[in-house]
Amino acid sequence: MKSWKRAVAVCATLAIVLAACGDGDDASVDPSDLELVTAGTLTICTDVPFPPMEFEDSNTDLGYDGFDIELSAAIAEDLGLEATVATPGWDGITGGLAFEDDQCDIAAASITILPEREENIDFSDPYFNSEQALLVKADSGITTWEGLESVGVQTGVTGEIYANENWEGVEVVTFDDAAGPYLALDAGEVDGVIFDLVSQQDVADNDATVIVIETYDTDEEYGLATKDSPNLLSAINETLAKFRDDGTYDEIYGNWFPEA
Amino acid sequence: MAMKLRQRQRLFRWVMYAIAVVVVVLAIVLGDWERIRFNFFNVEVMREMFPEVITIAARNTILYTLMSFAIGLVGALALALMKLSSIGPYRAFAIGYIELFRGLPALITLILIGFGIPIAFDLRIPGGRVGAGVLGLSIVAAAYMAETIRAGIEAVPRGQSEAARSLGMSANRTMFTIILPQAFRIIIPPLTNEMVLLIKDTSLFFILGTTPLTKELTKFARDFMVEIRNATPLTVAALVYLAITLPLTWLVRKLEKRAAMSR
Repeated sequence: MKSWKRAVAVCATLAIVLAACGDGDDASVDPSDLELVTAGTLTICTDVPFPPMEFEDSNTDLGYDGFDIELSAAIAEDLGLEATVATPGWDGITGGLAFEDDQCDIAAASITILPEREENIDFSDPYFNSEQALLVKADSGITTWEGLESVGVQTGVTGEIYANENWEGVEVVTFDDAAGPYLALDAGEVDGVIFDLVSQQDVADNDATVIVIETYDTDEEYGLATKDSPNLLSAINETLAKFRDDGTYDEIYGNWFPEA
Repeated sequence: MAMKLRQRQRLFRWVMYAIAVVVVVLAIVLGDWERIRFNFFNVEVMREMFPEVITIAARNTILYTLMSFAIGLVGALALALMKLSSIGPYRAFAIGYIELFRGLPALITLILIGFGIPIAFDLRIPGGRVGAGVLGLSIVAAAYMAETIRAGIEAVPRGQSEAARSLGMSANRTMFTIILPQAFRIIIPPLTNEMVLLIKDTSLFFILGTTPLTKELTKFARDFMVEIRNATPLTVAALVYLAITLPLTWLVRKLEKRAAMSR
């Protein structure tokens, strides 16, 4: 189903690329300029579970919660828009197809800004710094990546790229979602999991049988993403800058990373 | 209506033809063929996929299928004999097993086998992820094929076993030398169908995790598609699947025809 949708989306690519010729006028926001999927509503795409950045929570109005969700919902409010959350799949988001398929206005999914991704989607100014971290079983005795025989990663994420480029001799096992690597770690199918530090720390905090043994500074920054919507992108950047100045950003950050 | 039966039939047929023609013409007119060619039949992309799509992806698909089929067939035979057994607990086990694994989606069975067993029993399945996938699929295939084999055994005329027993053969010898050979002749077509289903079910192996060397056709094509943002890999995978399954289904038709003639 997912693949089928993608195939259709690929098919639709050309037409939409040709149709979107915004002129990047960054005067104050008029909602009608934003060319939203649903008028008056900001459709936020994310990929769960990735706590504490984004995860399902049926007790909230949006059905999802987390740092990314709260931040992008605040942006929607600032732009005078309703917010709704969709989860079209990680590959669809970073490949840009979910945007072409009119499933998203913006993506807030802890997406690391990478040149190869910039070919497919347009990033906002960075809003979050991240490192990669290696998590292993606490009783495994592994202390560095060199002790690994195999490592679990989610397909297409920064951890996969890092492991493939830097860890010669370690078998990189890919999974379609973020839950797979941890299941495989529990099952003993992989020795470790490499993922973004924010998420790994959260896993380790909630599960005493695993520990984070190494972090890797990869100069990574998360960006919110749009595609071919220059008006929306500049509106988001303005709001992000405003949030940093007026303390809104720090407040949201404090909600999710209280110790920082 | 004044129309005769035959006239009505002819009219009906022509309406069907007309609808088919309209659909084909609409597809030709409405389809953007340049875009379809670029996205689904991109020769450059196709070239990039070779030889790995054959040497790794198709090879793995076939390998996983054959292994699952072989193990599943042995399990299915045991289950079928248990289900026909006069020993109550055997029958109960066979019925429970078949109902359970026919009722579960194969994907869930794979997850239970691949992750559930190692976590629950601290036990590693031989062959790692591929071993777990093959085992999971074998378990599912055994459930389906057991019913086929049972039906085949029951389709062998009663007189065969009565004659064998009256010649002094033991019950086991009768089953293995007289009944089963005849039963298998009857069920080769449905078993081949089962294999065609298995070929496609190997696409579920991705859930257990993959490395570049263990990808089967679907996962290979999907990853390729994401990487180059073009749907051509799906087309290629589809064609390779057909290249595997069409000869098999052709064989089934042939065997069915032969079986029908030999009756």
